[in-house]
Amino acid sequence: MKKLLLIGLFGLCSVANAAVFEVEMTGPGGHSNGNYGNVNAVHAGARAILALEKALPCASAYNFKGGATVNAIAGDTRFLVNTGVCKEDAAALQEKITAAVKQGADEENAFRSVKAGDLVKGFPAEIRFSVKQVGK
Amino acid sequence: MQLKFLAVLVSSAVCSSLALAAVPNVSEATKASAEAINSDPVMQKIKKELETPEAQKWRFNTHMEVVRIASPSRSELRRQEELMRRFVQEWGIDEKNVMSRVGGNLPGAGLQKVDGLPVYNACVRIPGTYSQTAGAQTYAGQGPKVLLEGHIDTVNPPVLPPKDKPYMPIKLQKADSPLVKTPQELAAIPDELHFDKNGKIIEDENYQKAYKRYASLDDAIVKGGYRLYVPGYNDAMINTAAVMQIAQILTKYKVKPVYDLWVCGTAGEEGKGNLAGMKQLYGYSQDTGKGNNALNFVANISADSTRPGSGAVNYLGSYRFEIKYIEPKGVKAGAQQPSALMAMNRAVAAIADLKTPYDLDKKAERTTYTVGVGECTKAPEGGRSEECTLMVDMRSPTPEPLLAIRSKIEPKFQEAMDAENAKFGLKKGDPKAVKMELVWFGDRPAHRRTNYDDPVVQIHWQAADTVGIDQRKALAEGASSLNDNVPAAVGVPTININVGTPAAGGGGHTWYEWGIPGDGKAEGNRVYRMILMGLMAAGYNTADGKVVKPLLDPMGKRTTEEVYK
Repeated sequence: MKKLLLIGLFGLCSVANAAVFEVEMTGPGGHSNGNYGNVNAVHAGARAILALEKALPCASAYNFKGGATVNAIAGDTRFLVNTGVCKEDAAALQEKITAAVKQGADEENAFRSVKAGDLVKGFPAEIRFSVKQVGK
Repeated sequence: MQLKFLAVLVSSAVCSSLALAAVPNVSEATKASAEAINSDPVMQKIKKELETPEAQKWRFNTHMEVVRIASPSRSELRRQEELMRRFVQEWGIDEKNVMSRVGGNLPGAGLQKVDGLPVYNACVRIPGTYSQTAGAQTYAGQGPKVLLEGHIDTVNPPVLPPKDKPYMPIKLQKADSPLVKTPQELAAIPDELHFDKNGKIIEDENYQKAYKRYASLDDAIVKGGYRLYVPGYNDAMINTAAVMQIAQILTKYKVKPVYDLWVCGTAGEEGKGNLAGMKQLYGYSQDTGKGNNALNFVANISADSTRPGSGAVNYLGSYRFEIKYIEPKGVKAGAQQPSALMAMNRAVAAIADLKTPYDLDKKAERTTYTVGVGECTKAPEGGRSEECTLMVDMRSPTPEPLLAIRSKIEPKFQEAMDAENAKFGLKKGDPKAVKMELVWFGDRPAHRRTNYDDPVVQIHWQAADTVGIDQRKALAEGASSLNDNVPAAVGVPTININVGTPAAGGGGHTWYEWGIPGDGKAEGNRVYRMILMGLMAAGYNTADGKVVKPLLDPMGKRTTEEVYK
C-alpha cells in the first residue's frame, strides 16, 4: 500500500514539473501574389510543429493561430505547447521547444533563400520567433 | 488588336532586343468622343476643381475618415453605412439615386447573397438620359449602365472589432525612421490623427504633420515628412476615396450621362471576400460559373492600383480552399490519439515544401501559392483544439499552371489526415480518427484578353492621351487578381487603373500597411481621367445640348439568363 502511494506521488511530482510554453513566430507578411517569395509564418509554424513532434513527442501543441486572410502571406503565428505528460524539467523543455521552433524558422527561411539581416522593403525578411513559459 | 514591335534599348547602343507589346487601335469615334466630352465647359470646370487644394484635401480627409473604420471582407457593414450616410447627408446625392441598401440588398441585382452572407456594396447612380430616348433598349427592364468602382474591404483587422471600438488608429512616424517591427512598436508610437465625435478629422498639429504631399519617399525624408500607418491606406481606400469623389463632383455639377453611371464602393475584394461585391453586381454564381448581369452593365472601370499608369487588362485566376480538420470532442492533452492540429500542420508543412515552375525558373508563368491562415479552436483546460482550419490560395494567369498547382496541393489535405490517423493505426471513419471537411471553395475565373481593341481598352488609352496623364508606350499584359475577374468572366469589358496617388507606401495586406500622400494635382487629373473614361463609355450630354454617343452598345454581355438568389 505504501509502495503504491509513493508511486502515485512520484507520478504527480513528475507532472508538476511540466509547463506551458507560448511560441510566437513572425515574418514580413505581404500580398500572396505581389509579395510571393516572402517567408510565411504559418508555413514556418507548421514546420516547427512537425520538428517538435520528433524532438519532444510527449508535448502537445494547441490553440494554433496564424495569418489574417487567405490571400495574404501569413505575418504571424502563435501557439501553445502543453508539456503535461513530459518528464523533463522546465529548462530542458524550453531548450527542446526552442530548438524545434528554430528548426522550423530555419527551414522556412532556407526554403525562400532568406538570410539573417535581410530586409524586404525595409522590414526584416526572416522568420523571427520567441518561446516563453507562460504557465505550469 | 494590333501588335507592334517596339524596339527596346537594353544597354546603350550596343545591343537591343525586340519586345512584343500590345498597343490598341483607337477608333476615330473614340478619339472624337474624348475630344467632345473633354472640351465641354462643365468638364473643364470639373477638371480644374479636382486639381485645387480644396479637392485634394477632400480626398485626403475622406480617405482618412473612412479608412480607419475597420472593414474586414464580408464585414464591411460599418464602412458601407458611413459611405451611404455621406452620399445623402454630405455629398448631395438624392436618396432615390442611392442604389444599394444598408443590410446588403441591391435591388435589381441577379444575385443577392454570396456564400450565404449579405453583400455590403455602397452604390449610387448618376442618372443618364437614355431611358427618355425613343427606342431605348433594356434587358429585363434594366437600362444600360457603366460601373466605376473601388473596393471597401481591408485585409486587416481580419475580424470585425466590437461595436464600441470600430476604429483603427492612424499612427504617424517620421519618414526617415525605420519601419516598425512589431505591433507593439506600432501601438507605442505617440503621434496619431485625431477625429471628432462625428468622425471628422481634426486639423490639429498632428494633421499638419500628416497632410503634406510629396513626390516620393526620398522627397518626404528630405523635407521631414511623415509616414501614415493604417491598414487599407493603399489597398484600397486611397483609390476608393478618389472614386467616391467622382460621385460627389458629378452630382455637384449635375452631369448628365446618356447611360446611367454607377459609382460603387464594393465589398469583398480581398481574401474570403470571394469577390462578393462584384458577384452581386454582375449576378455571377460560383456554383454555375456563369453571370446573368441582370443590372445590364455594359462596361466596367475599377481602381485598385497605386502604380501610376497601370492598367490591368488580364486577370489572374485563383482557387482558394478552406479545409477543416476535426477530432473527437474531449480528448485530453498528451493523449495518444490523432490530432486535428497535427493533421492541419502536416498539410501546411507539405504544401510549404512545394515548388511551382515559377519557383524554379522566373521565366515560367508566375504561379504562386500561400497558406494564408491556419487556425485552431481554443482548447478547454487540459484539453486539445478540437478543430483546425487552413486556408490556401493559389494563382496563375492561365488555367493550365493553375490546375497543375491545384493538382499538387489538393491531395495534401487528405494525405495529411491519413498520415495523422495512420500514426495511431487508424483509418478514416474510425470513431477516434480525425475527419476533414471542405468548408469553402473560392474561384476567381482567369481571363486573358484576346482582343486589345475592345472599347474599354481604347477608352483607357485615349483618355490618357486626352488628359495628358499616364500615357504609355504599350499595354501592360501581366495578369492580376482583381474585382475585374468577375465582369471579364461574364464578358463585360473591364480595366483596372490607378487613381489615388501615394508618394510611397508598403506593407500591403499586413498590420503595418503605410503610405505617404503623393502628388495631389496629378491625382486630381487621374480622378478626372476616370470620369472621362466613364462618360466615354456611357455617353454625355454637353452643356450646349449636344449628345456624345456612348461607345458601348446598350445590351451588356452575360453568360446566362438564369437569375440567382
